Amino acid sequence: MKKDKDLKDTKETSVEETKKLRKPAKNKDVVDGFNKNDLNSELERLAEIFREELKNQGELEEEVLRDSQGIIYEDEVCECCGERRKAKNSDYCKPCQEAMRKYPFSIPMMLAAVVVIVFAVFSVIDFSKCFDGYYAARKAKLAMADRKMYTAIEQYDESINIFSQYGINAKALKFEKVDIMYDVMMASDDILETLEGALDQGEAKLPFFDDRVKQYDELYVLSVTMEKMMDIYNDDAYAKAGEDEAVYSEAMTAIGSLIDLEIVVPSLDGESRIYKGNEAAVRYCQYTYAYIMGNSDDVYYYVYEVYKLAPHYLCMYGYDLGMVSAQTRDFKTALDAADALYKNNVEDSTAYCIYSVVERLRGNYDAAIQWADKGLAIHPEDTELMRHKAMAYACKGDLDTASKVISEAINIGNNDLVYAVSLVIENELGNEENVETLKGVYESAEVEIPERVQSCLDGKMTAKEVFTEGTGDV
Amino acid sequence: MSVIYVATRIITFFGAYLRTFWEHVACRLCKVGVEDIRAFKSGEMCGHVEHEVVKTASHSFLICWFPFTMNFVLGCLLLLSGAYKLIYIGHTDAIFNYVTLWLGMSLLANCAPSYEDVLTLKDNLYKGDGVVRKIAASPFFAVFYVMSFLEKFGITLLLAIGFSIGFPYLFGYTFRLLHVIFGEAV
Repeated sequence: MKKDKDLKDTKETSVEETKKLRKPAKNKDVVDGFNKNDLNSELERLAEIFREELKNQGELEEEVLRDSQGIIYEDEVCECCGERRKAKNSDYCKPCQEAMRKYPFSIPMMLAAVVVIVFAVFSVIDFSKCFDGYYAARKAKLAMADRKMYTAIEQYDESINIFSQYGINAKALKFEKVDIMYDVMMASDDILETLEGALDQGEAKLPFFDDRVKQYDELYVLSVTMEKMMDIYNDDAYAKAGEDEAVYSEAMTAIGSLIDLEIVVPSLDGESRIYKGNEAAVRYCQYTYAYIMGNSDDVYYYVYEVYKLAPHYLCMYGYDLGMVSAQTRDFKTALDAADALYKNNVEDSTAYCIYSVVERLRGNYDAAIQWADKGLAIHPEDTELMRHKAMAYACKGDLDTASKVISEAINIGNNDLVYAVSLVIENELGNEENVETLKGVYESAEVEIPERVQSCLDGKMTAKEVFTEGTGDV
Repeated sequence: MSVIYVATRIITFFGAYLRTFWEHVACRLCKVGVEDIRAFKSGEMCGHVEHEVVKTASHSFLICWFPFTMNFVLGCLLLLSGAYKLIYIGHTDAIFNYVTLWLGMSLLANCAPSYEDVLTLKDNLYKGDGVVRKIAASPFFAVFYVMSFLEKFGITLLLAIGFSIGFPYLFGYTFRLLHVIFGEAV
C-alpha cells in the first residue's frame, strides 16, 4: 500500500511546513511595547496639559493688519488689494491708485479706434471728391422748394452727371428729377431715359417701385401716341389738311383712332405689357394738330377735353387753356389756369403770358406790362412775353416803346406771331419801309399774313382794336 | 429697462466699444483711477468704464464731454459718406456706404455719458461758488443729462437713426444759414 504511505508522508511534511509558516499570535493590547490602556492614559494626560496651557494663555490673538501707523481697521483698508491702508480721500491705497491711474489701454479698443478713424478719413475724402455733385443737388432741392422747377431740373442734371463720372448711380436724384419733369414737361423723352437709368430690372420688380413702373408705362404710351400723331402729320396723304376740310377731318379721325391702338410697352421690370391708347394723350394730339392747322374751334374743343380727362397734364394744356379762355373772355378759367401754372412752376413763362393777356383784355395795360416784365425777369429772352409786352404798350398808346420791344424780340428769335405784331405796330406808326420789309419776310416764307393783321394793314382795324377785340391777338 | 439698454448696446456694439475707449482716455488724462475697462457687461455700466469717484468739476466735465464729442464728431464724419450716399442721392450699390452708415449710427447712439457720471458732474458743478461756470456749463449738462436718461430706454438709438436720416438735410441747412450770414463767400 505504497500509495497510502506516500499520502501519509505528504501529510506529515505539509503539517511541518505549515507549522514553520505560522506566526505566533500577538497580544493585541500591546503596540510597540505600549499597552492600549497606557496609550489612552498618555493621550489624556497630554490633553489635560494642553487644556491647562490654553487656559493660562487666554483668548487666541487673531491676525490683524498693521502698518507703520498702527492697526488698519476695516474701514481704512484698501478696497482693491485689501492689504494696505487707503490713501487720503480715496478708497484705495497709493500703489493701487497709481496702478489704476495707469491702467493699460486695451489693444482691441485701440485697433477699433484706428479702424473708425481710418473709415472717417475715407468718408471725408469720398465726400470731398463728390462735393460738387452734392452742392448741385442741394441747389436743386432749394430751387424745388422755391418752385423754380427749370432751375431745379438743370441742377439735378448737373448733379447726376457729376456723380455718374464717379460711377455713382444717384437714383434718388433721378427720381426727384422725374417727379419734377412729370409736372412741368412730361412729354420730354429725357424723362423716360432718366427712369430707365434709375432702376434696373431686378429693382423694378420690387413692390416698392410699382408706382415708378406704372409711371414709366404711362409716359411710354404718351410718347408712342405723340409719335404716331407726328407720323400722321408728316403723312403725304394728309399734306393738304390745312387747305382741304375733308383731308383735315380724315387726319383728325386717324388721330382719334389712336385710342384703339394697342401699344406694347417694354416695361422697366423686363415684362412687356399691352396698353390701349391713352384718351387724354389722343385728345392732346388732336388739339396739337388743330393748333398747327389753325382750326380755332377744334383747338378750343380739344384743349377742354384734355383738361377734363387729365387735369394733371397741366403742363401740356395749361397755357393753351389759359389763352383760349382769355380770348373767349372766360377770365376766371384763364386766371385759374395761370394760377395753377404759376403754382406748379414759378419759372413758367406761360403763366405770366396769361396774366398779361388777361390784364390787357381787361384794359389794365400797366398791369399787363408789369406781368410781362415779371416773366422777362426770369426769362429775359422769351419772345412770347416780349410780344405781349409790346401789345400792351401799343394799347397804351406808347407805340415807340412797343416798336423797340418787338424789334428786340425779332432779333432774339423770329416766329410768325412776332412778325405779325411788328407789322401791326409799324403800320400804326406809319413806318412804310419797315412794313414793306416785314411783308417781304412773309412772302419769302410763303406764309399768308394773318387775317386780322391784313385788316389792320387795310385800315379796317387799328392796332388797339387788333390787340383788344375779338381774340385780342394776331 | 436694463435689458433694452444692453440690447441697444449690442446692436450698436462698435459705438459702445469705442465710447468705453474714449472714457478710458479721458480718465487717463484726468488721472482718475480705472477699475474695470470691459465694454460689455450686464447692467447700466455696459458700454462704460468703471472708475473711482471724480472729485473735481473739470474732471467730471471732461469725462462726460470727451467721449461725447469724439463719438459725435466721428459719427458725423462717417455719415458724410453713408448718409449722403444712401439717403440723399440713393446710391445703394456700394457696401462701403452701408458700413459707414451703420458705424456712424452706432457712434451717435453711444454719445451719452453714464448716468452715474452725469450725477457726479451735477454734484461737482453745482456745489460751491462760480455762477459763471455754472451758467456756462449748464447747457452741456442739460444735454448730457437728457441723453443719458434717454439712453436707459434705448431711445438714443432711435434718435441716432433719425439724426442719420436727417443729417444730409441738416448739413445742407447749415450751409444755407452760413450763406445767409456770410453771403457768397460760402
